[in-house]
Amino acid sequence: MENVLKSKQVKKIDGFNIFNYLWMILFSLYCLLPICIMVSASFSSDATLAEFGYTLFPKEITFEAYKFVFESGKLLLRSYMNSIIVTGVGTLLNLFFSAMIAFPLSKYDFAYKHWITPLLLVTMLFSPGLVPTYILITQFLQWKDTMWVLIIPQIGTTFNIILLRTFFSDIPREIGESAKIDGCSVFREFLTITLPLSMPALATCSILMALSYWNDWGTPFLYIDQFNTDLYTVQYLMAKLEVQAKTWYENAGLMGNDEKNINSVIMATCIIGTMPIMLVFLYFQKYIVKGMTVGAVKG
Amino acid sequence: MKKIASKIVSGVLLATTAFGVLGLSACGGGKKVDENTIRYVVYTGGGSLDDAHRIYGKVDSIVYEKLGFHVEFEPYGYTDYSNKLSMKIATGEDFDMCFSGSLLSGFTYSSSAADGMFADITSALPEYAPNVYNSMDKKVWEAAKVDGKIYGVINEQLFARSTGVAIDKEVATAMGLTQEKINQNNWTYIDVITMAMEHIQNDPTISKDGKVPSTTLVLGNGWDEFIMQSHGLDALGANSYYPGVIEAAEGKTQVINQFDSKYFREFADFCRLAHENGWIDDTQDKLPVTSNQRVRVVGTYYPYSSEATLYNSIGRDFVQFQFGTPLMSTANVTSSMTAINVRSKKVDKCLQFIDLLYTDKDLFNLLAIGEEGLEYTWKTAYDDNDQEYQYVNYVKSSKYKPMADWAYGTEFNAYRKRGYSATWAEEVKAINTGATYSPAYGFAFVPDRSLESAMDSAYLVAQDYIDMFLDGSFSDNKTNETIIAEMNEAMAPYVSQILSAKQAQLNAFLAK
Repeated sequence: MENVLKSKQVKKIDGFNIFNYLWMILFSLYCLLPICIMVSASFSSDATLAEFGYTLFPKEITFEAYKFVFESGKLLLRSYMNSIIVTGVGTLLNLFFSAMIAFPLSKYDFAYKHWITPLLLVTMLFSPGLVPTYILITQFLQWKDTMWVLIIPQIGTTFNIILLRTFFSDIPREIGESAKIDGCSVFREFLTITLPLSMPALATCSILMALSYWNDWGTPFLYIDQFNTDLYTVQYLMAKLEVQAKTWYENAGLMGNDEKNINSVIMATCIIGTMPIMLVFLYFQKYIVKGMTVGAVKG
Repeated sequence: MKKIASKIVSGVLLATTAFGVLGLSACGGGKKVDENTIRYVVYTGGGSLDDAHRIYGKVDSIVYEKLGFHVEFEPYGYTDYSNKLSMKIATGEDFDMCFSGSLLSGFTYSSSAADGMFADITSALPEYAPNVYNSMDKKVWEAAKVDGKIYGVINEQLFARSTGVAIDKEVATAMGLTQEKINQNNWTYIDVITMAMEHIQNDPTISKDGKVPSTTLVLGNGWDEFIMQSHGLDALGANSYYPGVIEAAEGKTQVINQFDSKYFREFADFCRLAHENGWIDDTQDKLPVTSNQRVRVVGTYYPYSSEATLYNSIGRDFVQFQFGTPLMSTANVTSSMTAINVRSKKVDKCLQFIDLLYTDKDLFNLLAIGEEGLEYTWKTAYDDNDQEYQYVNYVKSSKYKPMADWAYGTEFNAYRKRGYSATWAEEVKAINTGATYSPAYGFAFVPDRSLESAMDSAYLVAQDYIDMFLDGSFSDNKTNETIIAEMNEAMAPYVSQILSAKQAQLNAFLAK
């Protein structure tokens, strides 16, 4: 009887569901189409783009744009490695320190949370500005042209701390108390109980931080010398290549009989710069969903 | 016991943090200043600088040999330049000299000098850079003065701007078009472009069934390339997208709103004509370099320059025609300057280096284009008189391409390029000396901080509408008059205060 009922529920066609699916399909297409056009343009030449415009499929496939980008060769590989290191290390450090700051703030009996929390909020609301930050990093910390400047300034972001603090506060107090009775230290409670139970929040924070680190080109722009190519990140390299392509394009007459492609190079740099993080995001997405659906406290 | 231990640990951590912060605050200040080295922030066109260390090293050796001090270079690309240099200045980082100019948006030479960022070199310039100083007329140097003082060295180039239109040589010959004919008939650039496009439209070897190929006509990036320059309008040191210009070629000093004038209407009508005839499409602002090009508005008329560029990129000969009155304005003269940091203690050395770049042609070209054999080679060609000459041919695979020889000193020091006449420098200098001076020459509008927001808002409105006409996205249901009226209505809250401010400053300048 139950099986019959269940199969009836599965087979029932709901008008609302149809609308829902249609809407989701349309919205997905709306999101996907610009990416498809971007891919198509990256495989086209500027002459084709000028004549036929941006189309879903390239009129003529050419790899000139990618050839221009991959001419960087070793530099491109190096910049990918730098981006991966910065993103990986930065995200891990950010998560760890943000969680460590959030943990005591989530405790009801932490005496100083009432003045530490507002202090943190002040840093979120009021920024010192670019000039004092630049002076601090270049003149006092001497982090110009180092890997530290790409990683450390973004560690311990207030938004993540507040988010984790809120999540930690929702973990039942009794778990910690019973662990304490059993002889568990505070740090051990943090590591073995709080963190495992906070996977959804940590996954969310990690995605946000990974995206932030990966997409950051402002920090290398300000603090990495143009000649220090060993510290280029992917986004910074892509930005530089776009400028080079544009310069090459505008000076094509001086450089020789070459029709360089600026618009398709821009599209190619977008693909190279965003595809890896998009794939990572797609991979992590299932963990976020899984984390939300798995129960933490049973009984 | 545990409580005491944890209190001790907390205390130690707190003390370590406090001393660490105090310790860090005692550090800093950057590198110590080297008295025998000048630091030069150079402007580059955005090309590759992978091999720049080699070039900079060689330049430094030559400078040390001739002048007895070192020079260090810090290159910034044109997209980074204003932001990075302003950060350097704001944070007090050490540097001695830098590129400056009216073309740097938001960081022009005049405003930077007025803000006290550059050193006063009025008396030091003739003493330490006599060759540069004496190479230009005293009147030319008036443009570099802010409140009566000189704050930068002018990098000499073509100052007197007018509009150029390059037409395919075969088309121009078939039409019998010459500069003399244009001058005799008082044809405007619109007349000539219309005639050329109609000729191309009716040429079955170029246009099939009367349809001109895409990108046959290229209008260029901004409206100031053919309206401002062809009508001799002076934007008073500011960008031409800000309201407020004077009709300098006619000697007028009344500040008018160019967007509510016959000039903008002419621009709008021409763009509409070009779009309606199918001569341009909506990708015009991309400046495509394609082999279909036959007619191109090249912006500033620069003898031989666009002919050489177009030949190199398309492989066909072009002829450039000049329109409008060459005008000497403050913005044109100060478009490329070299300035010295007000904090620098080596003004004399900086000026000596600038003077050396002016007198040593090989040194200039080493910095501007690189080394022979690696960045360029010499090739032979024949000019219009069948005279053999050598021209510089760039090596495509080279890793040093600053693409900004006009930013390093006098452009007339550059090696001869293909298609340039032997007397190119003299011809261009003659254009400068024979040009009309704007009545506002020597004046550059410096807006108050309170006006910056209004100017930015007006700029954005102007940009939207200019782009709309250039790329053809205007509505076919609306006439140009309606669109222009809408544009001025959108600008109305800002225009009167901007025009008043400009007029007041100009009047004060003229009264001196």
